[in-house]
Amino acid sequence: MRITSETVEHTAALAKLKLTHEELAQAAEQLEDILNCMDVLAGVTCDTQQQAQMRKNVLREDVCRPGLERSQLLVGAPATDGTYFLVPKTVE
Amino acid sequence: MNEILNMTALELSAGIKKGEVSCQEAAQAALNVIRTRQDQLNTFITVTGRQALERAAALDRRKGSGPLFGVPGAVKDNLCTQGLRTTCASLMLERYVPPYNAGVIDLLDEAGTVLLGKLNMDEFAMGSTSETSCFGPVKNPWDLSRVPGGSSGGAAAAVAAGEVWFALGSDTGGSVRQPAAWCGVTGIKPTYGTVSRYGLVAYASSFDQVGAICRDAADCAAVLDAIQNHDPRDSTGLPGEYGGLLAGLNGDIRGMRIGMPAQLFGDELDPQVRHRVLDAARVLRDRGAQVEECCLPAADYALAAYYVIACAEASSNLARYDGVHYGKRCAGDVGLEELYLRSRSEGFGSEVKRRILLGTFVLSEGHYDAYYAKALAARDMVRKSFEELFSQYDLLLAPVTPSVAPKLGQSLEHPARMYQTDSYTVCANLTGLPAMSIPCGQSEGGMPVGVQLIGPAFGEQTLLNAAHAVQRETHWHKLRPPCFGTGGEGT
Amino acid sequence: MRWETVIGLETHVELNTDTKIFCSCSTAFGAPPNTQCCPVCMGLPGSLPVLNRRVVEYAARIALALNCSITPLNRFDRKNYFYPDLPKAYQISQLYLPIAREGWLDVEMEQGRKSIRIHEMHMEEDAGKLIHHPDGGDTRIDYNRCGVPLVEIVTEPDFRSADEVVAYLEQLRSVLLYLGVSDGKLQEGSLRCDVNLSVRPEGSQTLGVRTEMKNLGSFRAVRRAIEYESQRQIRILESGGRVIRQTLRWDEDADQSIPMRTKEDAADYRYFPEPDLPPVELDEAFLTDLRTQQPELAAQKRARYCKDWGLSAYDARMLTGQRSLAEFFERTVALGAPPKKAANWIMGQVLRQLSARNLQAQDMTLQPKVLARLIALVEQGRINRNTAVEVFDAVFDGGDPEEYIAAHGLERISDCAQVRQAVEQVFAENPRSVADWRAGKEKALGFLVGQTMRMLQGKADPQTVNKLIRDRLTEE
Repeated sequence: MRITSETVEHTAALAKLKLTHEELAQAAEQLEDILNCMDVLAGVTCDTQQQAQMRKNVLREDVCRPGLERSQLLVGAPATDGTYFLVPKTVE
Repeated sequence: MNEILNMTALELSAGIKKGEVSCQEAAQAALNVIRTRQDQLNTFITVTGRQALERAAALDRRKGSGPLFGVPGAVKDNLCTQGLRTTCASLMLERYVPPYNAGVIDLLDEAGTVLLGKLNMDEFAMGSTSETSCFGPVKNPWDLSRVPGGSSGGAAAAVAAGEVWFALGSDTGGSVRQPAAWCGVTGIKPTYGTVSRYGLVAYASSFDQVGAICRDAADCAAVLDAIQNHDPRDSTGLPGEYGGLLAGLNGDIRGMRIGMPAQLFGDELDPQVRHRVLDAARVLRDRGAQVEECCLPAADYALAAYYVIACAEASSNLARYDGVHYGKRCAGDVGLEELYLRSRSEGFGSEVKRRILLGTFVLSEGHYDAYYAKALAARDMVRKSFEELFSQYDLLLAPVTPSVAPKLGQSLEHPARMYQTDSYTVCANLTGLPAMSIPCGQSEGGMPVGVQLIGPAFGEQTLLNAAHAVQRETHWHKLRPPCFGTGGEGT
Repeated sequence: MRWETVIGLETHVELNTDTKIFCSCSTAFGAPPNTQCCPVCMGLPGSLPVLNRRVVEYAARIALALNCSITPLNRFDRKNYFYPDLPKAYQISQLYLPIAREGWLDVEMEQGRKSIRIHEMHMEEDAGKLIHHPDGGDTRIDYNRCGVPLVEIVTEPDFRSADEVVAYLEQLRSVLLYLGVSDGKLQEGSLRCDVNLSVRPEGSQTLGVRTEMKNLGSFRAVRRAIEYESQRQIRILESGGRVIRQTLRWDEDADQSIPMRTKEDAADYRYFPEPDLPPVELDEAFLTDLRTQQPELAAQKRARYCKDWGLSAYDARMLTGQRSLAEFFERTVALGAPPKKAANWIMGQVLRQLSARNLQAQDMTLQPKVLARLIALVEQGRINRNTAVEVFDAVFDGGDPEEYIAAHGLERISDCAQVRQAVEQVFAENPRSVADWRAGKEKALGFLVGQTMRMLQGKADPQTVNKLIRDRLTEE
C-alpha cells in the first residue's frame, strides 16, 4: 500500500499529533514499510471472531465507594483553580 | 558482598530467616550496586533508597515467613506506585505521581519484599531495545555497547547486574522474555488474565501482562505465587486456584511431550542461536522428555496481526495523554487544539508516535476491514493452531529472538526490521498463553542466548518444571556478566 | 410545492443507578464539582473499567419495554475522539453489537396511534461537564457526571411533525418512569435528545439531506427547533439551494439553530471492540426473569382500566399520567373503593390539592386508605359529598377522616325528625317563599332547601331535605 504524506497528515490530525514536513515524509516511508509487512493479512480468510477463552458477564454490584479527594484528583492537573480542571476556552 | 548478591531470591530469603543476613544488609548491598552501576547501565528511573532502607528495617523488626520475605526487588516504571512517580519512561509522564498502587504492587508488599525503585524501559513499553526511554537507553551488562532488549530492559539488566534479586516487567509482545534472553536471566510471562493489569499503564490491553524476571525458574515460581490472583478490578482477570507453583516445582519432565514449531526456526534465525536452543532441547530430551519438530502454519500471520492490534489499542490507550488532566502540557498561551497537538507532540517520542500513527491508520475509515478486522481473524487462527498443538504437546520450545542483543542504535533506523525481532515472542501474546525465557548458553562473542518455552493456558507449572529441569542440569543461568555486583568494570 | 418533514430521534437516557457505569463513584446529582471521581472514571493511567450489573438490567428492561430484540451476546466498543469532557479521549459505547435492535413504541396522539420504530439501543458512559466562562476565559471542567450510565435510543426516521416527536418523548418518558430506571427529567439532563431532520417534497420516497440538532433541553425547545429547522431547510430548497449535512446547536434564548464548529477532520471515531471489557451475555433465563418482573406500563394500565373498570379513555390517561398517581389509584381501588368513584376523586380533589401545593404525585403523603375510607363514608351515607370534600382537604396532609368528622360533628343527620323540625322552622320563618312556590315560582324551592341545609350545618342529605320540603309543600 502506498502511503503519502497527505495520508500521514490526515492520520496525525486524527491522533492529534503535529509533525514537521521532514517527519511527515519519514513517517510516510516508515509506515509504508511497516504496512507492507502487514499485507500478509490479506491472505487471512477465516472471519469468525470469537473471543476465545474470554469470560462473559464480568459485573460489579451497584454499590457506592468513595473515590478520590478533590485535592488528590487535581494535584497532577496542569491547570486548575482548586475546584475545576481548566482548559483554554472551548468553542462549541 | 558478592556472596549475597550471587544468591537467588529464595536463598537470600532463607538466609534472612536464619538470621545470616538482614533485610537491611541485603537492601544496602543492592543499593551499593545500583549506585556504582547506574551511570553505566541506566537501569533505574527512580531509586527509592531511603524508603527502601526504612522498609527493610521495618521488616527486620517484624520478621516473617514467605519465600520472598525481605528480598529487594524493583518494578518496571509502567506499574503505578502510590506517591512514587510512574513515568513510563516518557516526557509525557515525567512528573506523574499516581494516587494509587497497581494490584501487583500491593501483592509484593504483602509478600514482604522491599521495593528498590522503578526500572527503565522503552517509552510506554514500545520498543525492543530499551532505547526509546526519555531517560536515555539502558545498557546490556554483558556488553555496554549493546542493548539489553526491551521493553523491560531495565528489569532484565538490573537482575543480570546484581542490582536486584527479582524484577517485575510487562510483556505485550515479548517485553519480558526478549530482554531476559539478551541479558542471560530467566523471565516468565504468565497466562493472560492471571495477574492483575489494574495499575499497569496500558500499551495494548489485550496483550499486556505483568511478568517476572529472576535469576532462575524457582525464583520465578515464588514471584508468580506472590502476584497471580484474581483481582475484581480487572475485568479480563481469570478466577482460578493460584499459588503453589513453588511447592509444585520438582523438575520432573519424564514423558513430557515437547514440540518445536518449524516456523519459529526460520531462515532468519542466527545459526549460533539455533545451536544453543537445540542444546537446551537436548538437555530436556536427556531428562526424559520427548522432543520433536512440529508445524505451526498460522505463525506466518502472527507478527502482522500483533502489530496491527497492539498499535490500534495503543492509539486509543494513549489518547488520554492530552495535556488536560495530568502529565505534560505544552508551555505557552495556546488554544485547545494547539494545546492537544503540542502537548502530545512534545510529550511523546518518535517510536510512540509511530505506533500511534500506525494504530490510528488501521482503525480509520476505509482501513478497518483490511487491517484490524483481518488481524482479529488472524489472531483466532493463531489461537486455533495453538489449541491443536496443545492437544499433542505439553509444551512448545522455540528461540526467543532470531539473534543475540544488537549494538546500541542499530535498530532505531529501521522500525520494520526492529519489529521482526518479536516474531517468535508475539504468538504467546496473541494467544494469551504462558511463556518463558531461560538462558541456554552464549554466542561466540559471549552474549547470552535464551530458549523460549510456551505452555498451554494455566500451564505455568509445566513450564517452570521444564525450566527447572534444565537449570538443575546446566550452569547457563549461573553465568554472570563481567560487571556483576560492584566488581569489574564491564567492557 | 408542499413539503414533508422527516425526523429521526436519538435520545440519551441517564439511568438512575447508585453508581457510575464502570466504577463505584456516586451518581448523585448536585454534589460539589469534582468530588465524585476516581482513577477509573478519570481515566488515570493503569485504571480499568468494571461494568455495573444494574446498568445491564436497566438497559435490558428498557429494551423489553420498547419491544426490541435483545442481542444475546453484546459487547462494548471504544469511540475515539478528543474533547476536554472526555478524560480517556474515548467513550466506552456500543456500536457493533448493541444491547438491542429493532423495536417499536406505540405513541397515542389525537389523530390516533402511531408506531415509532426503534432502530437500536445501546449502553454508554456520560461525559463530564464543561462550564464556559462568560467573558471568554478558561473553560472549567467538572467530571462528576463523567461515567454516569446512559442508554441511547435511536429511532428510525418515522416522525413527520413536532407533535409526533413530543408525543413520543412523553410516551418514552412515561415508560422510563414506570420502569423506574430513570428520572426522565429533560431540564436536569437525564433525558436529552438530538433531532435528525430533513425535508422532502410531499409524496417523495427518498430522504433529503439531514441535519442534526443538539442541545434540546425542553419539550418546548424540541418543538421550536423542529419548526425552525424545517422552515429553514424548506426556504433553502425553495430558493434553489442545497441543504448541507451538518451538526447544529439549538440556541433556546436566540430561538434559532447555530452551526457547530465544523471540524477539519470529519468525525472518524475509529470504533473498535473495547479490550478491557468481556462481552455481556443475556440468556433466555435472565430475560424471562426480567419479563416476569417487568412492571405494568401506562399503556397496559390504560387498557385495563377501560376494560375491567369501565373508565373512559380520558380518565385512564389522566390517571396514568404519573406512575405514582396510577399506583395510588389502584391501591385505593384495592381497598374497596368503586373504581369510577376513586377515579373522580383523584382527578378532581387529589389533582386539585397537588396543583395547589405544586407537588408531584410521588411526593404526596396522602395514603390510599384515607381516600378509600372517605369514599366508603360517602357511599354508606355517613357524610355527604360536600362534607367529604371538607374532610379531604383537612386530612390531605395527614389525619384520620373519622376522627376529624367526630371532632367537628360532621356526621350526616340521618334522623328524619330532626330534619322535619328544621323544615318546620324554615317554613315558619319564610312564609313568603312558601307562598311564592305555591304561586308557581319553582325557584323558591331551592331557597327553602338551602335555608334548611344551613340550619342543619350542611350535615343533612340534600336529597332527603328536598323530598321532605316538597312533601310539606304539597301537603296542604
